[in-house]
This record gives sequence, structure tokens and C-alpha cells, in this order.
Amino acid sequence: MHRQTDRQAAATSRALGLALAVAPSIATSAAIGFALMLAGHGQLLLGSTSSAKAAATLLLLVGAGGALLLQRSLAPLLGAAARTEEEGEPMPRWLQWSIALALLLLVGTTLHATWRAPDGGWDAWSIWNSRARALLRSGGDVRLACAAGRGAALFTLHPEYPLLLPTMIALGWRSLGSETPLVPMLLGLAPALWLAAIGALVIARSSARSAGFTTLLLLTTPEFARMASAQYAELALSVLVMTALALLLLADELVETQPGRRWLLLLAGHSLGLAALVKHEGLVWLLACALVTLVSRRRDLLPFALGAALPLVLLGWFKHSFAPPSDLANGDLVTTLAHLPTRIGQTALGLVRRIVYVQAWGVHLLAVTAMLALRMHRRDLSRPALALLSICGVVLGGFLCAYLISPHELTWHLHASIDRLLLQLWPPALLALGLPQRVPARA
Amino acid sequence: MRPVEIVGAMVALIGAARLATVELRDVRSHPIDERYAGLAERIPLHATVGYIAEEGLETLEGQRRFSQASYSLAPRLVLPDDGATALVLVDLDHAAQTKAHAASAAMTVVLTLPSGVALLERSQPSTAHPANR
Repeated sequence: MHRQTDRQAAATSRALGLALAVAPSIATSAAIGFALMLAGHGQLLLGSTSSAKAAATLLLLVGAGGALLLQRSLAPLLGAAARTEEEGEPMPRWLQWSIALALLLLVGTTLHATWRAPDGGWDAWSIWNSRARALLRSGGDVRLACAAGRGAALFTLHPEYPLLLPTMIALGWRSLGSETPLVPMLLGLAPALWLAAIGALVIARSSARSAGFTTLLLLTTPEFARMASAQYAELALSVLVMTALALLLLADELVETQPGRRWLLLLAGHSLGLAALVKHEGLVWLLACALVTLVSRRRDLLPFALGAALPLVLLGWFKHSFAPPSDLANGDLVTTLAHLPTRIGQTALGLVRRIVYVQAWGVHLLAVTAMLALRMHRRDLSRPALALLSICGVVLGGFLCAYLISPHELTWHLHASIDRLLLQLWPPALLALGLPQRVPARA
Repeated sequence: MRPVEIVGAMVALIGAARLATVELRDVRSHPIDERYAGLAERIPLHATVGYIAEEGLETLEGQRRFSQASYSLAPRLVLPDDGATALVLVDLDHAAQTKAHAASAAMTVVLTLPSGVALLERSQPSTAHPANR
């Protein structure tokens, strides 16, 4: 057994601070751009003038610079939360090499996928990149961007989805001066790498060996690599969710009077608010975290909710003034509820099938579910791990409820979306697996 | 190595093998814009375009083609043709079908692309579409 040196612990805290700062900071800069577009000033950023190009570039640079500032404010707090008394094991050399190879494979798969299909996967071109094009080419006209799919056209174009990711892509294109597939490719790959980094650094504070194993499992999950290369929104959403979950865990390690603890909670709420601006599932994560916070530490709810407030105002504005109703709201609820028992059975079966669906999940989902179930049975999961799994459980329940009331043919709906929803749960589940079995109480 | 780590390593190996043998094997598809190249320049940016295709929106192929047309022409609004738009995008399998359709519906062919996709212009839209007013 080895003890982390102070220098290693400080380096881990700094790296973790940066890992946690990047996604909310860059997403906040995109949210500012989105707010400008909602206010009808999209031309300022996405117009065809050189000043618009400069403004778009500046906004992205502000996002990157903000991450560095945020990292400076986070690192001391994370240092205070670091469990230096925890004894950990270093990562063996063969594991380091395996992770390096898995990283190469992930990057190689993404580059190959971009070469093979530069427009991305189906949802990438039909929703995210399509909307980004509409924003860029119309000078940031949100109404035009939401028009596709309205009326008699396809619900699968999802004009009701919020536009944070398309805004980010459009800003990238505007600052580079071309609609290069490199921008959506990077916005698929970077969150994947960031997700791996956050999970690894949180776990590495107690055991580099556990961090190595969970990172290796994440990077070699076929569905994870597929999503990283498909230019979908799932990993952008996941990185904001994972940031928030890590911040909640770290806040939980600090004593209530510790200065800066509320700052971590505020930032966690803000990250989840931003996640709701990426995709509707972000709202489910936000509600689940709020619920678990309410049950475990009611006083934490206020800073958490304050952090989420501004992104939620933006979402409300978009939904109220621009977006058509969701396809999920168009069903006949009475008929759907009449078939509830059948639908519950179908949904449960669909879920169980995914656990052994080798094409998407290898044997990862089966193995990790079994390992978590075993640890739960032995009651050796730590309190943070249980909190994480509780949040995941609430979120999974929310997702399954959406299937139960879905107006679409259930088999099709499950087939079309369940892997992506499970993927959102995957990094937090691996984090729960990698966390130490027992966390010593802090002074 | 502990037993659980051996299991973890095996799981990772299976996943990596799956990635290397399946994800890296697929062949290249054509960029979507190639199919619609030259069309966007003929359609005003804020226009609504009618859409007629071989496959209806109830089939996966029909949905794919419709969504790809929307993607390529964004931010122009592509909607299934209801007779109200001045411009109509036609995606039929044979050029003869396009010509016959244009003749029967009193439309003129503005442009035919090598992909078979054509842009037709309706001389008298039934009612002006709100987006074209």
C-alpha cells in the first residue's frame, strides 16, 4: 500500500479542478451566445461580418479563459476535500499501457468515423448539425432553426430540442470561417475524453489502480466509442452531468462550514442547468440530484437551485417563445395508460435485453451490473457510491416512465433510444464502482 | 492481479476487439451535400420548399432522404408538398418520372442534379404559404 505524496495530491487536485471547470465554462459561453440569439441579436455572433467572426471567437476564448479562472477557484477547495489520509495503490505499468492503447483506439475510431461519414450519425445531421447550420446560415435566427420538422414533417427532427450544442457548433464554425466537420467531431470526442478524465481523477484521489480499471472499462465500451464518434449530444450532456455529480461528491466531503462548499453546490446546479439546455434528459438529472439532495441534506438545495436558475430561465424562454411542444406530449394518455401492464413488461424486457446486448455494450454492462449488485449485496458500497447510484436509479426511473407514456410504438422507441439513455448512466455507474469501499469520516 | 481485475481486463479486451473489428471496418459514405450540390443557390434562404419523393415519410428510407434534404438546405424549410409553395424539391428514382410529374402538375423544371434530385417551380401555388408571403 502506498500513500499519495502531498505533491501528487496537489497535482491531482489541480487537474481535477481543470477537468471540472472546462465543461461548465465553455457551455456557459455558448449559453450566453444562445441568450443573445433568443433576444434577436444572433447577428452579433453569427452574422457574415468580420466583427461577428471576432465576437464568436472572443466568446469561445472567454469560455476557455473562464475555465482557467474557475480551475483556480476550485483547486484549493478540492485540495481541502482531498482524502490524503486514504491509502491508495499506484497504477501498474501494464494498465497504463492498456489505457493509452484504449485512448488511441477511441481517437482512431472517431477519426475513422469522421472520414467515413463526415456529417456524423443520423441524429447528428438530422438534429444537431442541421440546427447548427440553420443558425449559422441565418445569422442566429432561432425561429428558423426550430422550424424544421414542424407541422406535417417528421417528429424525429425534434425542433423542440434546446439549442446549446448547435450554438456551440455554429460558434466554432463561425470562428473558423467554414462548416468543417472537425467542429462537431471535436464536440463529440472532447467530452468523451473529459468524461474519462473526471471519473479517473475523482477515483485517483483514493486509488490510482481503481481509477485505471474504471477508465479502461469506460474507454473500451463499444457504445461509448460509437457515441464519441457519431457527433451526438449524449456525451456533451454526460460531461456536464458528470461534472455536477463529481462536484456534489466533493462538496459532500467538506464540512458544512467550509468556505467554498456552497460554491461547489452552486456550480453543480449550474452544470445540470446547462445539461438541460443540451437535451431534455438534463432536466431529469437535475430533478434527480435535487431530490437526493433534498432527502440527504436539505440545506444544500438552495445554492444548488440558485446555480441552476439562470440556465433554466433560458430554457423556459426558449420553450415558451420558440419551441413547439415535445412529441412526447402529443399522445393519447388514456389509451397509453390502458395498456400500462403490457408496456411495463415490454420496457423491462427491453432494458434487460440491453444488459446482454453485446453489439452495443460488449460484456461491459453485464459485468459492471453484476459487480455493483454484488457489492450492494455485501453492503460494502460507500455512502458517496450509494448516493451516486440513488441518483442513477431516480434518473433511470424517469427514463422508464417516459417510455411508459410515450405516444410512439414502444418497441421502436426503445430500440431507437435506450442505449443512449443507458450511456448517460454509464460514467456515473463506473464512478460508483471505482470509489473506495469505505470513506473515512472527515474532521 | 486480483480475480476482479482479471475479469475487468477481459471485459475491456472484448470491448476493444469489438471496436477494432466492427467500428473501424465500415466503408465510407458520400457526404450528404453531394446529393444536393447546386440546389441551395437556387432557393432563397428564408423560403419554404415543397417535397415530393419516391418513398413516403412512413418508411425509414423516406425519412432519411427527407431529413437529409432538410439538413443540406438548412435553414430553408422543407415540408411535404401541399401545393402551396412556389418551389418543389422532387426526389424520384427516374428522371422521366420527374418530367411527367412536372407536366401533370403544371410545374417547370428549374434544375436537375446528377443525383436525380430536381427543383421544380410551380406557376400558381394554390395558396401562398405563410413563409413565402
